[in-house]
Amino acid sequence: MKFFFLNVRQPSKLAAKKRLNAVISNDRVNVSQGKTIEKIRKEVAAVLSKYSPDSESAGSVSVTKAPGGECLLAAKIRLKTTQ
Amino acid sequence: MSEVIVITSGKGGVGKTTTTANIGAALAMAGKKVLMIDTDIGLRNLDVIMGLENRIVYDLVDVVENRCEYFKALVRDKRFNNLFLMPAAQSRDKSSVTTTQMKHLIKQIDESFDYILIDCPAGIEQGFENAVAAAKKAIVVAMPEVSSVRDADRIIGLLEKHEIKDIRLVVNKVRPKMVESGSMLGIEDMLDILAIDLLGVIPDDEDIIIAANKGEFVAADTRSRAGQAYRNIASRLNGNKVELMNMKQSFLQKLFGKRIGVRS
Repeated sequence: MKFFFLNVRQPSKLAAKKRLNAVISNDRVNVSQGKTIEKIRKEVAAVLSKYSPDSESAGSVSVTKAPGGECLLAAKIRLKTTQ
Repeated sequence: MSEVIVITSGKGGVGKTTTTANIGAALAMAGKKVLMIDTDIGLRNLDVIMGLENRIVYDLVDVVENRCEYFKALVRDKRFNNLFLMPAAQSRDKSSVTTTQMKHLIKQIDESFDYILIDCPAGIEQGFENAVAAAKKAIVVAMPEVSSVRDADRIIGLLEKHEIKDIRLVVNKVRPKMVESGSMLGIEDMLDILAIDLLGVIPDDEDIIIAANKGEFVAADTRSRAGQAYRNIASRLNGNKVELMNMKQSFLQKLFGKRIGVRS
């Protein structure tokens, strides 16, 4: 026995919206990422240089990518120990 | 001081040039003095859309390279005495003009017009940079489909980077039936994603193609829905509050064709 069913299609605009949101979010991150990280790196280095005028440690701020789209900022600073 | 507005989109083929031409014509019909500058050097089309392709003597590159004064490169539209075109060069490329030259040109002509509309080429390279260099406002033209919206978002980011804060959206080639059935992005969907103010909505209308074929302005066709949409956009640019058109055709319009019946 054959049944005739109405061919109900999901509105394709829902798929379009979902894909667009994902793609645009990714685009925005990628476009700004390089500059944003570099800007942050320089600002951190500038702050550190106030506390550690040693030029070697002021320049040693590195950025590495971490899982989940995050970045890890690492800075080498010389600490004075007082006893 | 003129209102200097760049019409851009990122993606090609969405209707920037047609929109520039028809908004310009509609503003001229409303009594404004309008200059349209085609910055798509090497691929000019504003002249063809306006039906002025046989009247070009000098172009934008001639002006910036000082081969003529700017007013000699202006083509006055005989249909509207207050509508002018500065065409792009066809045999050069976009590196023939710099942003400094564009700024200098706009500064020269700033006092002479009510509106200066700059038709921006597709892309985000030198052509785009030239077009936005002296613009104070922007109109982003986008179609309700994924690649156009994606590119429009990118363009909006670049316009903001150029410190253009007044950015408004024109949604072009809208098909009301497809929007209703959920097969096409709606206006609200696009505004959600792009997050800029809406200037107008143009329905997909064969009158636009027919007008372009003849080198006429669909904005001058009082029976055309797209023409009405362009006139509404011009009215909003002039500071008037104009409701968005009802995109759906009435029953009579469907039965007898869009030329008959109440226009909403």
